[in-house]
Amino acid sequence: MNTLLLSHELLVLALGLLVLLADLWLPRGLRRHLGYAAAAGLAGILLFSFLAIRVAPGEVQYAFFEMYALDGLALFFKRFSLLAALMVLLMSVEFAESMPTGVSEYYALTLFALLGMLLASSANDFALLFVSLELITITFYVLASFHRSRMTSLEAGVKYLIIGALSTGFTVYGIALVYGLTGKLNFNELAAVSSSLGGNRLFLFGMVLILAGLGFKIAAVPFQIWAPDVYQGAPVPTTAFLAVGSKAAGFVLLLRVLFVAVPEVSFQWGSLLIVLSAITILYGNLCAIPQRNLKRLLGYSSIAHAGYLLLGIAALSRDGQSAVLYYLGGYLFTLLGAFTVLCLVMRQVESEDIASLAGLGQRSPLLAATLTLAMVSLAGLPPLAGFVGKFLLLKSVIAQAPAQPGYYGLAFVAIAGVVISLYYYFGVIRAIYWSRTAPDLSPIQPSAPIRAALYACIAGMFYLGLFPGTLVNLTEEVVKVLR
Amino acid sequence: MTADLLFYLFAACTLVCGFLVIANPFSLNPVTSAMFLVLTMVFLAGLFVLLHAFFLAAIQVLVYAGAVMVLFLFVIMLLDLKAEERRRLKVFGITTGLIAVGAILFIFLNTLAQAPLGASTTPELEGTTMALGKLLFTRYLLPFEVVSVLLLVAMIGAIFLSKKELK
Amino acid sequence: MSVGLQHYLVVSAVLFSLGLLGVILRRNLLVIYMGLEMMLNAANLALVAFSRFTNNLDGQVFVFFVITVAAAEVAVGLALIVALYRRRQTVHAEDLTCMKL
Repeated sequence: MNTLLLSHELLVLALGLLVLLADLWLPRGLRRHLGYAAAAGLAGILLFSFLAIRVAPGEVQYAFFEMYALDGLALFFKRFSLLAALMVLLMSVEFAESMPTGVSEYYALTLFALLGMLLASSANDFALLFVSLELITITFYVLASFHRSRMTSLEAGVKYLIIGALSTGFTVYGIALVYGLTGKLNFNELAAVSSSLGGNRLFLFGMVLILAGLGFKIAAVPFQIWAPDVYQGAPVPTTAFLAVGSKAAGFVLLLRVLFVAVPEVSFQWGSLLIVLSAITILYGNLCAIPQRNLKRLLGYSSIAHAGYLLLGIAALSRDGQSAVLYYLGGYLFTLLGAFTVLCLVMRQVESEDIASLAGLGQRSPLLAATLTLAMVSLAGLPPLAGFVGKFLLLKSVIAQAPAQPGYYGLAFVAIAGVVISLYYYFGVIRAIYWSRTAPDLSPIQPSAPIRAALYACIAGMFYLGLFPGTLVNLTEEVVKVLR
Repeated sequence: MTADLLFYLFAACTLVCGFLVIANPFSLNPVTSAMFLVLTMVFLAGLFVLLHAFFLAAIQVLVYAGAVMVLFLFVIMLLDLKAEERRRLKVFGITTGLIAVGAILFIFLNTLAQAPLGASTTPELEGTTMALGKLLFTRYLLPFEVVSVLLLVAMIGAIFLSKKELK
Repeated sequence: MSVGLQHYLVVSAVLFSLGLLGVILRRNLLVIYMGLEMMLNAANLALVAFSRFTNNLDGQVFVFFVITVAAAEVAVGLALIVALYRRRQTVHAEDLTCMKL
């Protein structure tokens, strides 16, 4: 067996263990900077991934009895998660100032959560899916409640724990039913027999339970209730990683289960997915309107974005799947930029209210510009990444509409959602530049690595907004392994 | 025949104890719930034996009834939860909960009655330690290794969260 | 009628519903957590029964993973509940109200 297949995972695991061990010998003052070392390590792994790992288009390499699949899709999500974790680590170095203890554990747990995401993107078997999903979820229980001197953080952790454990219960029962009726846990073997089971209601019941568990990960209605509270209460870097990494892991598993394991069954589920997607978009956007807490606002907006991403899955076509990947790419830069700014601003003022952004335009033009661009991109306006992503998703949905008129309704709801979202995203921008009262005008000086990360986010948003060609080609290439 | 009788015995005990975990008419004390959960787990282990899953039956008693539930009891007693009993359940919540779960159960059992189960007539599978071990260290080696990382994470997390003093 | 797969599945389904009911009805976080454990146990029973009656050992290996993961989850979960209790002197779900609209 080719060990190079698992090189991402092995390297990240080694890095995580190294960080844990380094904590023993480093003097206390230096521990905070371990985050930079870990981020540098991830940058190295990312570089290695681009230089050494190649997968031919449409080719799938298997390991461990077809349990682990390395294909373009897995590689895309591995690099995606590595990049996300890298920026989250840089963010956590800033956040570490407010933590009394356990800084190195925070970095190490972030790396272990990343390991879970890397494995999830290659999971081709329900056993690996379950185990990697749980690795992500259990690590996030700890990461969400890491600020354990704050009540909000503990509450966020407990809420995530209860809803997470509930969704685990559903997933396991669903897997039990699917396994019981087919005798298979492997996606490839399942695909060979699933076509005959489309009419078996017990099998469909099991699939619905599995989708419920994955719906929890991506925060889609009706499994979204945890999102606002956990986003608000958890430490900012955790929230950022939850919003980007955990959601992406949920989507890659959703894509694999729906379009590798049971494609024939998924193609019957167009209308169900349409309804779920539409409700998720409306719920997220409508509930975000009255919010004053920035993290909570982003929590609701993340529900809305889960809805937009579901558009691409509901389209049940290659175009839809590749649009999901493109959208996630843009989402990465946009959201991480926004959360990095929040992390810096909230470190200075203890409040998380939108009003605390007042005067940010004068305090630090770079932060203000990043947050503004991020909001414009989240809203989906040209010329930024969010616009192209939404455009591709809508295009894929409308292309399917002649066959099933429900898609026109879905497209209409999505556009209505964009219009609603303009209101609250521009509320944030207004607070940045046009607040009457700005109590604190002391300048904020971001550190050099953070500045670099912010410039990278801005560059990413513009690049994906103005030159979509490269990534579109890549995503179209990558989804060829799906049905 | 004995096996059938034992099944009905274990199944009834499992469900009755399970019911007493969540709704004990005599006591809302979490300690009683935990004790009945231990019994539920033990009777489930009995069902596992009837299904010839000997290794899992042993694990069920050792890990679940032994380790997990003892942890639960430790925590309950550590927290000294006597004051919690005063709050009573709300009628509205009970009715909606019962209706929702009842509906799900009804749909499920209904589906189960109609579904053609792909069961072979003569079950001859033995869940021995050797058979399971072989599978675990060949086909399922990767998830097995991932679980070890998971346990490491759980250890770090549990120690960090329950440490009393933040140094 | 001799005991077959269906019997075990009915027991498992009822146990799952009981666990779910506990999660919905009870307000004590510890009891809610016990309900969640019951749901996992119900799923384990279904897996073992399927494994026995389809002559396929994979299900039992999966149960092994479920039990291990559940143990890890319980360790973290209980630590979290203890930390919450230390801070707030409560384990009631209704007292978790510091984040509202």
